[in-house]
Amino acid sequence: MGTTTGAAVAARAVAAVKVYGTGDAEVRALDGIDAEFEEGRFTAIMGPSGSGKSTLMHCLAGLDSLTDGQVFLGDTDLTGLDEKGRTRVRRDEVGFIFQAFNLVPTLTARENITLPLDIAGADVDEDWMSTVVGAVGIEDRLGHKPTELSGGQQQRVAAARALVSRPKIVFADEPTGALDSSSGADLLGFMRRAVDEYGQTTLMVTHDPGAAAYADRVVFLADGKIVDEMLEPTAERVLDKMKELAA
Amino acid sequence: MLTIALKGIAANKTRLVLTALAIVLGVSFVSGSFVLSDTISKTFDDIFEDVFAGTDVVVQSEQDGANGQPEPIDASLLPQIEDVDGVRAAVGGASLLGVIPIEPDGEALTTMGAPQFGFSWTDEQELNPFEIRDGRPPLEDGEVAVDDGTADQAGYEIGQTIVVVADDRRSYTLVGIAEFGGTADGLAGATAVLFTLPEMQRLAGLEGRFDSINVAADDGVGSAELRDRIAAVLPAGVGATTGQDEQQAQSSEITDQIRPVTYGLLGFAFVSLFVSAFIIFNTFSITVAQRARQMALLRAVGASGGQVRRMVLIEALVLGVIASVAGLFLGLLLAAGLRALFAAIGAELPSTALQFLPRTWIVALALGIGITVLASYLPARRASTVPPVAAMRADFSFSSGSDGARTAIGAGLAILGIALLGLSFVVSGTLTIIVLLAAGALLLLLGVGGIAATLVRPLAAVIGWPLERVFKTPGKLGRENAMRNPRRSAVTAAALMIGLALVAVSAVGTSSLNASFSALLEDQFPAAFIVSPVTDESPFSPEAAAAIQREPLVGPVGQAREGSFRIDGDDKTLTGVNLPDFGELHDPDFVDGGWGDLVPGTVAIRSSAAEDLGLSVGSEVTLAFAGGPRPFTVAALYDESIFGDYFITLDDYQANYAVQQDVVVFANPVEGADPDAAQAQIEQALAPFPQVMVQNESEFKEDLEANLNQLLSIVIILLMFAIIIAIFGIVNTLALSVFERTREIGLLRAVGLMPRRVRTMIIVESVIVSVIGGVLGLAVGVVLGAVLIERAGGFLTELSIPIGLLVVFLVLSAVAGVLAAIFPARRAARLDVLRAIAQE
Ligand SMILES: Nc1ncnc2c1ncn2[C@@H]1O[C@H](COP(=O)(O)OP(=O)(O)OP(=O)(O)O)[C@@H](O)[C@H]1O
Ligand SMILES: [Mg+2]
Repeated sequence: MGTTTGAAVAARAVAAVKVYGTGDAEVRALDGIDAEFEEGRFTAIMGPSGSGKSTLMHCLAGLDSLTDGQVFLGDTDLTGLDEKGRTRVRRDEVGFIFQAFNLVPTLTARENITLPLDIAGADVDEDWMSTVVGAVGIEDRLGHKPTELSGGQQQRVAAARALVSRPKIVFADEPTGALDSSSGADLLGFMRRAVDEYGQTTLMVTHDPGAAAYADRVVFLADGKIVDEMLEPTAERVLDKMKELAA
Repeated sequence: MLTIALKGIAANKTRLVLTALAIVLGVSFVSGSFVLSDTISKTFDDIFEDVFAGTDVVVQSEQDGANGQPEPIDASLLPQIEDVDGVRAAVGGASLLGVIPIEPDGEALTTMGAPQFGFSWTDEQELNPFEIRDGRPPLEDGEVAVDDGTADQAGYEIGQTIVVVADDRRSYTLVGIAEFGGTADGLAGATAVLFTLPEMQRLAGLEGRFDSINVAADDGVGSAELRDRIAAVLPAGVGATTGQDEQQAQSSEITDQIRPVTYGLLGFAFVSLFVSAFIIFNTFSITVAQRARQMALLRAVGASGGQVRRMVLIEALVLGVIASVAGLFLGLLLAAGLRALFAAIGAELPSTALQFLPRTWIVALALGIGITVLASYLPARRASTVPPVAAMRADFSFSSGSDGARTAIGAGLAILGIALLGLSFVVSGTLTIIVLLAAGALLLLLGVGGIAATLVRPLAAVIGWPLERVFKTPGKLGRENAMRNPRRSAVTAAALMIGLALVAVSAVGTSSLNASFSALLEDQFPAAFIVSPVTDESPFSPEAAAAIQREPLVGPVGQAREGSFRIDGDDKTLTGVNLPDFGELHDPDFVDGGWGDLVPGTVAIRSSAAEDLGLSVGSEVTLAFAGGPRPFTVAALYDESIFGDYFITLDDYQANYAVQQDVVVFANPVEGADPDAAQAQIEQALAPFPQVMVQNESEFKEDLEANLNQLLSIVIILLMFAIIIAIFGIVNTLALSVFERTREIGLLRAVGLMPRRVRTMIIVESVIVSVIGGVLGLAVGVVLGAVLIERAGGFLTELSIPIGLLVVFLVLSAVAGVLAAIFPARRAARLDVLRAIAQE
């Protein structure tokens, strides 16, 4: 599977296999995945429920380890790292946006955003901070605790957190899954701009063809394998493709 | 509902075990206290039963004499009693306290406070609790037998010459080894040397007299019948009682002596249970909150609020029953362990079976179950208020009630508590004062517990500040976690607060006792040396004072003896002192007259006692001794003395008491003498008297301080139960919080927090909560301690707050926090990141 454009590769899976359980209960969540995700691009991963999207993302992000094969983040082979090493990679090189429960309830929005930097003991680049915060439009909410924010605002804080440490790559697992369409559109618009304006490599799992249309490229998974991909997606083409795959 | 309740219990075993443990410990303390004191009582009952087994009637003085023992009676009564119809045998006996066997290597055989007796031997086996096991009874004055425990401990062999110290050091031939009560039971740590009657009488200074006469009846003559016949021939002042009555009187005297210890132990046990109640309350509050959606679901499918409430209460009931039964039996083990501990320090109790009376298990079970159900009542009621729609909402949480109202109630209770404490200063009556102080303390603790939720934030901010400096992000997160649910943290901390408050009260108490006593010593005792018995409360031979007096560097030597007498029909204790020497060594703060006025035929009285009796200097007063009433004149009044309310001269003491033993001796060096040299001479002079020791003033103070510290340690050990329960409470709360925050911890791990630092975060939270408990507890404890000391008054003149010790306790409370966090922190650190963030 090589749709290389010549740009450097931010993340790569090589013959990646992930097996859950043994015997009868064995599930091959990833069944030999080869994929490259280039720097500065926005890639969406789509596929039916249970096709292995989240598993692939977790393995690429160093949250989980493979049963077989390799994953690279930049030049780093995650397969060879222990939990401590992977924690460090996550802290320094990866940004996350989950579907929900992204924020630590005891910390203010600002503290949540700077959390990865605080954990790493790194200084906050205030210029970059205000750029990011301005872009997601939560400048006036920085002192609030998560419970005082709407769901959309919470996800935007999470997005700002994912970007603030200038990670090599941002992983987002259904970031708009719990949002209404206009809040979702705000968040996706911001993620798109981060790619265009700051060259932020982004990988997003989604079920929504409309969300996938914000990406540069869509990768389709089914039964733990990459079954197709699409460049310059539009909502209609993605929807058609999904119907085709489901048939 | 029952099945759901049971499943609820089974669902979280950690919580079950930790909560149950709190109750188990509290209940075991209650049952252990009962078992131990019942067993000790039974032990002494058995001993006295043995002593009086064959005795039908006991004849002895109706009035106590020297050292609170019955005054001896005249030996001429014996033939008169023998003549009474129905008397099969009558035996006069003599005994002495403070008879110390010397081991073959020259060491004195002393006990851990148990009495050391000398008894006269009688061949009338029915009237003798001892039975010769090996050898034969003492037949001549130079022969003795000893009890088997003593023989074992000293390593005596029959036929050996052994040294015994009574009035003086003497050598005897050991001719027999005796068993007490005819069984292998011991004497509860006491020692006994058995002499011939004439030798015992001579040693005790009882020539021609007996302690008592024990009588056995002819077959067919009842004890009561014989008692009345004998009483008819006795002179005034000498009484006859049946053996059974005498046995009961002695048993209940021991029970009376044990009772304060029992109540003390029970008091500590109740404190533990009180702390358990906090833990139960908190655990149920948290789990009810965590299961709010589940309960809402039950409501949605048709369960009534009452049913939900009952479900929680059933859960509590089952937990209470299981834990209380476990605690009951753990208490049995505890008592057995304590007994083994007594044995290890030499105070061996006879092998009486542990006494497990119905009262013990009824009270222990009722308390354990009752407290569990009671403490879970509020959480249960809250559970019943969960609206069915909450099942549909992800973020339902109970409105925690108004914090303002809670603080107001807490403040109200605290103020009421302080008011009661204050009130105790204006009322009189010991019981009223104690009740007011106890109620005030309880209310103050509850009140501070109520306010605690409000104090958690500021305190956590202060305590957390240095932790955040040191531990950076995990420190900050831990601090925030401690503050996020102030009520939960407050109740958790309050449980620890109670234990530490009592520790602080004890620390302030002992420290003030020490300071007051030192001040008192300086005020009242210009004496350089104090000679006191090695075994507490064992009066000793006047030969010791005489030996000291002979040393050239020793100046005045003051002797004090104690005896019982009656004034206005009340039993009182007086002190006989040798003047003028004693007067140079003790200053009781005379307000009228002085030592110089105290001559034979006069008495010095404490001013408060004199006031009660309406006496002043010059008043005539009658002191009644066993030998009859004697007229005295009041010579002086004094304010303050560690001795009793009455002083008479040694001459009068000797004239009115048969037994002459000193309770304490003071001495000063002659003017200009080197104190160390004088002390060396005194030590030399006392070498033949292993039952006493000499201490100079600073040694005495050190000894006093060591004793008080030992007391403090014992109290702290007893409070350890409450503290351990509170630590379990912290573990429980943390474990539940970690469980509740699984997703959040997963998120932190996902964004790069190392497991080790997750652990740090939990430890910081725990330390903050425990230190809040420590700060509040120590603060309340110091206040309570100060109030107690001020109220106690008397010789407790100095309030001393041991800052250093309190700081140590504070540090230890932080250590407790670290310990409590070990298990929950490990759990949090080991959380599987993926599971955590995938958790629904
Ligand atoms: N911890 C696990 N243990 C066992 N099986 C698992 C585990 N995690 C995932 N699986 C299985 O692996 C497969 C892939 O799961 P994955 O979560 O990656 O799917 P997905 O594409 O993200 O689905 P969805 O769109 O529903 O989120 C599924 O069949 C799932 O049941
Ligand atoms: Mg998924």
